[in-house]
Amino acid sequence: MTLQKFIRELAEEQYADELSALQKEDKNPKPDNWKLSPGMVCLYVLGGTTTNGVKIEPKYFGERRLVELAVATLLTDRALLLIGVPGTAKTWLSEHLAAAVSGDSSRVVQGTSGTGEDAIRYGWNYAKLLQEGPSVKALIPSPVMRAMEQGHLVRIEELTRIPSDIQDALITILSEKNLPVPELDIFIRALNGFNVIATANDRDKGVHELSSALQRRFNVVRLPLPASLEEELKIVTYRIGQIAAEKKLPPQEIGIEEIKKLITVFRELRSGQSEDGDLKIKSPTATLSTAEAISAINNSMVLSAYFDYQKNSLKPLAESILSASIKDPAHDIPVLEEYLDTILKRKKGWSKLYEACKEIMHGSH
Amino acid sequence: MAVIKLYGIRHHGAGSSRNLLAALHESDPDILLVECPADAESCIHYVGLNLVEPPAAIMIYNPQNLNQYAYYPFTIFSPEWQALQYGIKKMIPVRFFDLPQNQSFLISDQTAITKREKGLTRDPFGHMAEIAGFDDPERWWEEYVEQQKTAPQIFETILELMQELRGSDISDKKSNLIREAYMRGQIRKAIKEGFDKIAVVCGAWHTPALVNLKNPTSSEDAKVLRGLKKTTAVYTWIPWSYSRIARHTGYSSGVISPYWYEALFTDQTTAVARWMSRASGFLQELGHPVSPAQTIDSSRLAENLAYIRKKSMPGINELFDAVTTVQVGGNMEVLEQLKIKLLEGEKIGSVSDQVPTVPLLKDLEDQLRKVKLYRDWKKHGVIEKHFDLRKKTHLESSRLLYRMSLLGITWGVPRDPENNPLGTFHEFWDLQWYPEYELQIIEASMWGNTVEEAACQYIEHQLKKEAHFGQLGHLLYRALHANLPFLVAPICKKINELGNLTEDVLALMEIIPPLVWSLRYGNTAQFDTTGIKQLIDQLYPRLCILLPGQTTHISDEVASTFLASINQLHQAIQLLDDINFHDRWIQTIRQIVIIGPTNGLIKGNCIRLLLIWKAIEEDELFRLVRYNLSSLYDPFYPCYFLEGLLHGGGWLVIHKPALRQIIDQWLLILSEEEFTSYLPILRRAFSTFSVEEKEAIYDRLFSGRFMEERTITINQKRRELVLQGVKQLLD
Repeated sequence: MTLQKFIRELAEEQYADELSALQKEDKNPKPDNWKLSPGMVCLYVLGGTTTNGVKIEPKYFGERRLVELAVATLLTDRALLLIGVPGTAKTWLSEHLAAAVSGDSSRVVQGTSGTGEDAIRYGWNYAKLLQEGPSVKALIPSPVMRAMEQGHLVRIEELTRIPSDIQDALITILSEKNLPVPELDIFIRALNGFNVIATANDRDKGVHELSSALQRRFNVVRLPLPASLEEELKIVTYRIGQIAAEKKLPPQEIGIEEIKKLITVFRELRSGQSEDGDLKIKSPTATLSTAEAISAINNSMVLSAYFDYQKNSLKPLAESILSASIKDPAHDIPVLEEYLDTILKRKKGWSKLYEACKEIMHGSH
Repeated sequence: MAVIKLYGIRHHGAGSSRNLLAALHESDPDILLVECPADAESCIHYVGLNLVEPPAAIMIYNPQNLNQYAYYPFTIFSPEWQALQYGIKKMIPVRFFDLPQNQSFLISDQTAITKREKGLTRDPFGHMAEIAGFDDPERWWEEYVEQQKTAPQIFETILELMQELRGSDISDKKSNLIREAYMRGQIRKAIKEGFDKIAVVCGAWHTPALVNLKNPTSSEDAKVLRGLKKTTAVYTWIPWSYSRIARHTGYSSGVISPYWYEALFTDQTTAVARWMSRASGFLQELGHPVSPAQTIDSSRLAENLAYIRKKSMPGINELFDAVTTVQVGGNMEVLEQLKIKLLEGEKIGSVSDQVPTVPLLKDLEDQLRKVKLYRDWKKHGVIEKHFDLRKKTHLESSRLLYRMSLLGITWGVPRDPENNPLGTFHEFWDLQWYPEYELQIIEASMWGNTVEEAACQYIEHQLKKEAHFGQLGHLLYRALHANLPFLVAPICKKINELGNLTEDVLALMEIIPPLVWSLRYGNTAQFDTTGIKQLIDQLYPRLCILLPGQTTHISDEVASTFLASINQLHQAIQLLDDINFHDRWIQTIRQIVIIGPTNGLIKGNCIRLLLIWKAIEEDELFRLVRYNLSSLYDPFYPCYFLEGLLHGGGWLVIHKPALRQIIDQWLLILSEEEFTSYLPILRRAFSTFSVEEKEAIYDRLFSGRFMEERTITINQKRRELVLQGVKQLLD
């Protein structure tokens, strides 16, 4: 089996070299069932160079203190909740933390409105159940239960999408660190090293708030959107490069200047003020997260790669900006118009982009 | 041979204090030299008498030139303070051994002196921190010096470190070299006097210059000091506050969190737990449920973070990170409310009144004398004053009183300035003195040495904090009357910031009248008022859009608040010399009159306003009144409507016979039961009428004119009853 087969590799597969190098060098005390010491986990996530000179790629570009906070939380017996708007690398960070701490990022529960209790506790193999009656063999352990038995981290994606009564199944697991199976009169006890990393986003509609009982069992780390244009630019170009390589897009030119412009537009619309902080701007309903910026650029790359556009045309870029920022036409179109005419028009060297945007907007009316 | 111990400390460093005390107890010195201007030594005396409770500052100023001043703040955890306490307790001499302030006033500008070691041309601590891998020099010092549970030997290491940093030639800017020459001289003097164990407590930066007393020699030092001029200076203690020790308030030798340093100094081993439980307590006070288990977990998380960050114990960053994550669940807004409390603490020191006075008080007394108000100062009881602002002394008095009120010293209270019968040149004030004012002045002295300066600084500081939007207009008004146009721009900026976001109609209504007054006053006094005009242009249309919608579905209590605000606004708009504003206002009131279930009080009132503005025809007026009195959806609606319509006087009923008739018809169709239940409200509606008005109404009712105007015939018996009822009402 070659790894080429999969669209996407698990974090611990992709960075196997780095992880083994770190493990080799790690002389610091490790908590039970941790593959790396806490300091090394931070190094793995934030990137840098080991004492032996092995280069570690940065996986998370945000503030160092947030990563430290997350790792420190995993050391306590409280669970970790990463919260933030879409595109703040919640899932990304949780996957890499699990890979570094447990060497295994595959224990995941995907939260949806249809997630049932058996995804968090256990289910039954009904054929066996009917055949043999209740027995340990007839149990189907959930990812959470398996992680408890192995002393690993388990990830719960989009925790707030799970209906509240199902969420609350976590309370016993988090506070007692065991999982009773009343049908068999046994309980599964978690080994040291078990903990939960949950992610949730606080922008989307239709979420189920955590009950305060559950909330008390989580340490909440809020992941912010990138603080500066430069930081965001770094993240976006890094991800674009990765995606282009994965998708094997034909090589083409999308200049750093164009990316910079798109991110500036996104940041201004998102924060409701111009980049220099002088002017107030109305925000559209769209989230305009970093993730959307990445996909918008991707979009415009695909557009100009596979369809006929004039060279150097800014139309694909303008197209992506508009389609990402106009979600509720009744509200967003006037907002965008205002933005184009009051902010974009005044920027020096932006006239081409302004014209491209205007052309598309008036064409679409 | 005398033994000299150099204790290089960081000003307000809790760890430095702890180490210093341990070292002093070990070495048992017979004299203490503390880095503070030598001429301020008399101040130590008050500490010995227990008249000063920290945080407090030694204040030194030149009485002839109040621009020359310096503050030397002390907290309970400042090494200098602990040194004073140690010396006093052990009854050994304590001396201040830095260059006298009355000389340093003249060698460089005062900022260079108050800024102590931070005013370096290069940044050695930053450099050291960078080498150690810290992004912030404060954090590095904190970790390696303040928080280390090290033995007193730390001072030798600090000395070596500083020697490395300053190099063999100990070069520095001139003012520091002069100070160090003086310090060496003082140490030599102590040796000559026969002290055996000399302890020197000074900023770490200076220690390398004090090691060698032979090179430079005493004559070389004397040469440096020769020719320095002296000026006069006054020395006193003033109360200080933790917020002024906090670094982010602009004090360069400050620390990030005085509150945390105090906890560290009091007992290092339990500091984290105590700080954390205080934090939880504050959160509970704000109404956030925080369990003891969370407090424990949070302390543990802080410890873990310190471990990951390779620190020996949690610092203020770890503590804040832990609280953010555990207690408030990532909700930064909640923490923002508490930030000041948790960083600074709210401690204010005190200084007994046996310690001589501060320059601000002196300045205030001078000013009061100048405007001939001094004889009223400290008098008990209310004193009435009438100022004619065309007279210079009166104008100055008014300005001074406004300035004092900006500082929170409300000795004088102006009577409603925009409602006075004699016009804008006249002001009426009530003066009433309370003993607390003296304390307030001493507290305010931290903001400046003159009333003008202190008022400006204080307001600027206040503007940085939370502000009540509605009140800002009054603040602007008072600032203009205090003749402090300098404050106009920052206040306008703040109003602009908050005004763009607020949806609070009451606050908008509150802020516009004082803005209008300020505009008028500013124009007469020839200040630049473009900023104020802009604000009105910006806020007024928003208010007009929001107002009608917000007058629907409100309770009777809120309605009376609205009523007062609308009427005040109405008067203010009338003052504006702009036809567009007037039209806009009429439109807005009209909208209130037209739209659905507005509160009766407000609707009646707005119809009245339209009438005053002659923006409504009689026919329409009568139609609206009839319509509103016939309202069915709330039985009390017509009563409130009448109250609003007749608000402020009975002239309407006197001069509009047709209106009397409409009201009369309405009264006639009421059942007895209804009438009785309406009486209290009706009585209130008529209670504002003056005696003359009531008499005029009587006349019209009983002289028969009332009957002539009537067009329908009615039963005499019932007429009698109605008249009785009306009489009852009007009594």
